[in-house]
Amino acid sequence: MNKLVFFNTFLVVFFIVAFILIVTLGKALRSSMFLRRKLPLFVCFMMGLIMICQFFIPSENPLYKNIDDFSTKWIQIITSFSLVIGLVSLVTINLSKFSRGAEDWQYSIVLLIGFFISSFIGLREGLEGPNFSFIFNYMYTPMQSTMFSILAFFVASAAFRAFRARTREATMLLIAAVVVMLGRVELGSILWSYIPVIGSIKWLDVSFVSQWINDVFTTAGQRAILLGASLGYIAASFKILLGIEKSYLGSEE
Amino acid sequence: MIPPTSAAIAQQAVPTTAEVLSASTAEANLKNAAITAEVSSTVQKGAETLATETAGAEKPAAAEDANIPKDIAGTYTGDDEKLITALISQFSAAEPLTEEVKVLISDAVATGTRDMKEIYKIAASKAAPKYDMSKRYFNYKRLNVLLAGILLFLFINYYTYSARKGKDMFIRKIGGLAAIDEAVGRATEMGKPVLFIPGIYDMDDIQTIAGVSILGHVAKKTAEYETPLLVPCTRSLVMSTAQEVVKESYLKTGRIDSFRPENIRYLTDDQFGYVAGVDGIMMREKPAANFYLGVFFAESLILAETGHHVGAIQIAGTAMVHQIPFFVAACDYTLIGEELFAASAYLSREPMQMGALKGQDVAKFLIIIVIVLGIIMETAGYHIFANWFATN
Repeated sequence: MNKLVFFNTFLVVFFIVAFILIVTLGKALRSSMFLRRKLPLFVCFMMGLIMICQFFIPSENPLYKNIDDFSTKWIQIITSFSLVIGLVSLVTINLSKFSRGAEDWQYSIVLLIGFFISSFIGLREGLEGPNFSFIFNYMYTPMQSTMFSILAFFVASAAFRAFRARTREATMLLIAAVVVMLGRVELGSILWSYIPVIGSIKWLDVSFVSQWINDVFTTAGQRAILLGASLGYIAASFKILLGIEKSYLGSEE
Repeated sequence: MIPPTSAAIAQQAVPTTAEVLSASTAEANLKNAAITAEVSSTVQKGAETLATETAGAEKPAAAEDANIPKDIAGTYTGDDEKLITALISQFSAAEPLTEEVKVLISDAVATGTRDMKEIYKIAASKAAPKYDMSKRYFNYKRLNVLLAGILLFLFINYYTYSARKGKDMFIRKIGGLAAIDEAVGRATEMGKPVLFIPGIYDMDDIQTIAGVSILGHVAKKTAEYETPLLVPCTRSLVMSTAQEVVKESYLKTGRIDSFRPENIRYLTDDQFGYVAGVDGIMMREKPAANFYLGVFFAESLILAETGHHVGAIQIAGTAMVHQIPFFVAACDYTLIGEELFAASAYLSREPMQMGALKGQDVAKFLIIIVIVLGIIMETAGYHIFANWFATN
């Protein structure tokens, strides 16, 4: 048997046994400091170390692919299990709202009906089934597009507020934004050509200036943010691996 | 061993057939027929064997030739360039140096062959053990990343150690984090809830973890002021973690009875489905303070603008470069990039966290020096410095 398959099988069996043990022993183990703090920190440290090592292994080496396959499979397993937690929360909260007759309980009914109908059809005929495809193509996709299209109107309203020239910085932002917007449309170049002196200089064409603002100022700003953020990423990862940052583990009590 | 040809087999068989045919008995005729069949079968088998073995001998040669680039052909005329380029590209992962490849080619030429394909084959076979990355466990082209990582690790450890020894660390004021208390206080005065969005990514992203850390601090404040805290999540693992973190904060402030796990709920994994759900919560609950801390994409502006329309004070933070302008335009305070990761240290003021932050700042200073040095050297025409920092 392939070593990786054996290892994965072993881990699956190990976690199933661990899960059954945790559930069986219940509250006694819930108060265990080892299970609540030390074990997750250890697992986190080990997995972090493995993933760092993988980065330095050449991609041609079979070990690289083995680690990749192994981590991908475990991510899929954990994601599938965690989805159940989410769905249980969703259904429980909305059923409770409906049964209590809480404010806006009608929305919960719509959600529950939609959830159960699409789950039933999806489980019965699969993802390629005609009814499930109908739900996806004629309900899900248009609703998603509708939400996305709202963005266009929000961009306009946010830009209107951001570009009000109340301060020196806001005025500079407004000027830069107007130049970039003019540089993106044909009409902008025509209007620009009517500006005395500047309009007649070829290398000061609005499309050129617009591109220059994007290439120089925007790129420089973005790279500065990226550098800082990347360092923050690495430092935060070190803090998590070394157990300095533990807030994500939740309650100690 | 060379297999017998079909013609040779036929020649060997013919006299035997002739002898048999000379017999006049019917038995002899029968024998003749049997032997003829046997001969035909032997001839056929011989031909098949020959064909198979000839094809087998040609196969490896064809496979070897397939690995040789098309432009490597003809007689060697002393032009190394084609061979150097072809060999370097074959071992591109290890990227052998030109000088090393030149030595390999001259060694191959020294064997006496002038056939380009043959020279290429010899050089490649000698280079294979050295540059075959499938047998290596360390990609030396990433040595620069390893050294930079070790350096950052040492800085963080040194300053963490210093902070534990009691060295005072300064941290500048971050507007967005200083405004958290103000935002929660405002919600309390107005009698409205606080809404916290930990981004749309899972717990495997550092930004989400940073957001959840800030959630712990916000939850402490909402617990103190007894203000409802709503945390709609797009990932179930984030929901579970957020529940634990908020519960811990309520426990620490002694207000566990005010903790409502149903307020920290899962909506959907779908991006715009989640936006629709959160917008609905905003329109119905009318929160007085909104926090957007984590990973955001196209939904950033939709959420922030809806929050603005309901009149909430808004604090956002993300390291997603393309979403920062949207948050700056629509929110009252924005944590830009690294400020999000500094939040945990800023809010907790723990010596260990402060030390890690200081180590990060020193590394940043070092990067600035490296960038300036790189600019000077590249301008002067020395590319070795920039090349060393290039990663693969």
